Amino acid sequence: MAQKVLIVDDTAFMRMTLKNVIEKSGYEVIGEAGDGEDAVSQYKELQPDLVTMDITMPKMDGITAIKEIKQSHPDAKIIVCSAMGQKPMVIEALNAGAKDFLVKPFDAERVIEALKKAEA
Amino acid sequence: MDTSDFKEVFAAEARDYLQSLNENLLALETNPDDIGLLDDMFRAAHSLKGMAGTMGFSALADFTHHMENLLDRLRNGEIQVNTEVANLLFEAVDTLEAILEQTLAEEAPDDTTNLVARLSSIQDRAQGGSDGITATTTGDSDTTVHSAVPELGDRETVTSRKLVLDEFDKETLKQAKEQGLSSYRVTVTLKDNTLLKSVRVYTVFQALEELGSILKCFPSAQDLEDENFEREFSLLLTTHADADEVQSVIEGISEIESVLVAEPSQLHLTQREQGTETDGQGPTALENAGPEPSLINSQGDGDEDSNSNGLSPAADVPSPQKGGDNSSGNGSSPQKKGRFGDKFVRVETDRLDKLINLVGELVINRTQIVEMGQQFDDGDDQNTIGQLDRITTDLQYAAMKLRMVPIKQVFDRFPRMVRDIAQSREKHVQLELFGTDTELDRTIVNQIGDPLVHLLRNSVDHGIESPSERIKAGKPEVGTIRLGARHEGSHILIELSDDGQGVDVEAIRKKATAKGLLDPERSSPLQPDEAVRLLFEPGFSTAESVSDLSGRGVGMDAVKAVVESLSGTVEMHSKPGQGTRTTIKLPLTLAIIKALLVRADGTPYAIPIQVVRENLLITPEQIKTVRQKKVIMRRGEVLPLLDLAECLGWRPAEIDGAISVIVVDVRGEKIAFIVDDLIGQQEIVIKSLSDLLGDIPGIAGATVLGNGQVALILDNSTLIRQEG
Repeated sequence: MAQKVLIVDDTAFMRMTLKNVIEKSGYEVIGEAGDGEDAVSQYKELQPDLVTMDITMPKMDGITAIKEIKQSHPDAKIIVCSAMGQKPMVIEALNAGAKDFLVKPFDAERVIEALKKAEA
Repeated sequence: MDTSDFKEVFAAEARDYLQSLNENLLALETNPDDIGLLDDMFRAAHSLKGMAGTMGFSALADFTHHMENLLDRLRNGEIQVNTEVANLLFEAVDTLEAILEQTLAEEAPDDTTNLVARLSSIQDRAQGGSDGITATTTGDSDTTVHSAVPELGDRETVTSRKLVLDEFDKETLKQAKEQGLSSYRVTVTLKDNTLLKSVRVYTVFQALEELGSILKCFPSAQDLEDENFEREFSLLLTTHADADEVQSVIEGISEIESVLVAEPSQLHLTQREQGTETDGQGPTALENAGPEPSLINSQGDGDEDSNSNGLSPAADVPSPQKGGDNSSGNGSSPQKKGRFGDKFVRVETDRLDKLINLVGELVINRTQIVEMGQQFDDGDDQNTIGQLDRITTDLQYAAMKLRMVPIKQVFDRFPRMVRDIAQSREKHVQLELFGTDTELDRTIVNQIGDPLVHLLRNSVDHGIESPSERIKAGKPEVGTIRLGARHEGSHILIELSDDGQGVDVEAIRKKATAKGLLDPERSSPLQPDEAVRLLFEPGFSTAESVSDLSGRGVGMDAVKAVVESLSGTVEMHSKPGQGTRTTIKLPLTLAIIKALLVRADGTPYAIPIQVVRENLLITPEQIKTVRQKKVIMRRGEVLPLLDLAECLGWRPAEIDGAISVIVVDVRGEKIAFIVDDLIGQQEIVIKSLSDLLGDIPGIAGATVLGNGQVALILDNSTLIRQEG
């Protein structure tokens, strides 16, 4: 069965781009969240296998969302998505329990590699 | 990578680093033992070097590298900070600034050979050797600079492949073996085009820390964090796991091209490097001096290992568990960036101006719509229009806030400047700054610098006495200059005071008499405030000699002119023997001003309200003629009377019946202008005339009135000069 992915990003454009890449590779995108709070509640509801998590988002940032998800689901597989200049935040996200990170602009191959490695 | 896009960001950040270097250096002068300051400076220089390297600015990177070397030795306590070192560092920071600006302007950077030699010579003296200096001082500047760049590069690649263990590491390995742990040398190659390499390295470290402990890494953690490596790095791991396990854990990480897990002794044979480096100075030279660059201890001979002992940083491994803390020790810049990155965005000023300009347009349209709305007395429409009105006003204020910058930007450079002047005058001066966070219009901030510089120079030059004079006068040896800014209503007050000798009334009297500004026959003594007023007279300068600081032929009148061009006022009070206080009062913003609207030859004009003294109605009989020029008498004063329309090249108003006249006062010069009539007083948004029109004498800009009509804003000082 196809692995289920939750995409979290505050811009619809980025969600669209990611969804396109992810679905082409045989994954199923079961949800999209636009902020951290939404991500946490959708995670609980949908129980996805994998999550791509943006860092800078309104309401609740990605790092806080990772921490919240990890607290109730320690096995959650989350890939953090960042921009070039966000090194300290990526490290914080990794410390919070993210499995891998992706740097924008996304390279399709890298996205799939990250998903494959995270799912293992 | 096309670095041109990053140039602006680079420039802004590099200037920040320079400013912090300057500030820390000043602080260091008073606290020469503060290692924290040296650490900060070292990191600033290091980051600057890295940034310059990334941009391909080799002259900048190279010079920063030399500075960084010296700072490194200073912070390690190998060299003590004294006046000579401090002065050299000041000079280096200045040079750095010059090279930076030249590089940004794509000009050839200054020759730094001499300074670099002196930077090295201080280090060599501390070392007791002088081998390094001959290498840098011989040869012409070009070859020195260029040869230095690859040397820097070589050294970094060489160290990146080195794996040198010290006694401590060997001992740890031995203990690990006794505990039944295995040791592996893990060499990881990242995929091409890996982004955020340092973070990728971090994930590898994070994964391996789960298996065991990382004893050492190559290149150093600092270099890994700063991404001073190509694609390959290696580390020494002690673990319970076997080689295959280690291998598969790393292969499970993204962006890994290849992993090599090997027993340390095997690696020694396979990874042997040829010692190709010719680097003749610095600690790395010692590392390379051995017969072969030993990678690991098992076969290494004792001498070589003791050479390297202590030279490779021992506790250099980043630990994922305390990643946050780690970065504070190894380089504050990324963390700092993160912290400020959240709160601030760098925006080009042009974009900001465009936004503010657009908001200005919107405000004008708002006024028109509100006026139109009043014609239709419909409740709903009124509501909507009222809302539009409020939102636009809020937007306008928000946009105005964008123009505001803290005065810190100007004040920041003063401590250094005052220090330099005081030193050259052999005076002891301390500068105290207050209210540096006070915000005011960017245009004002950009222009207020020069007048303040002038006032500060005057204070140090003429105000503060020499130490011996001060002691004689019963004052503390160190003079104090206080510079502060604060809000007062819709104005900003900038106050500069010193505890010096006050203005020299006698000198002013002599000078003013000589310049014909004062009646030589005058017998009554000159009062201090009167003397101060004379200081502001055009062409008056008290400097006895033309020093490189004060007295460049620009006196207090120039200060006054700048302040007044910013719609401000300047006042000075002086008490003999106690000091001088200068207060500059400025409006918060220049984008919106209060103006009096008048009509001349049928066209509306705006006159900034602060220059308008009064408006009156006169009869033709009140116009007198003195030396063929029209004048009016007003409270015993004879005011020249001009026709505004005529001044602007239009048809003069007919002199008949009641004539509207406005009296303007620009820098003490009063002139009466005949106008058609007065329209009223209102706040106007200043728009500059387009480049197409250029500078038109007498016109400061334009504004659009509520009815859509354009009114030109008159620049009175220009008007007066034109007619004077």
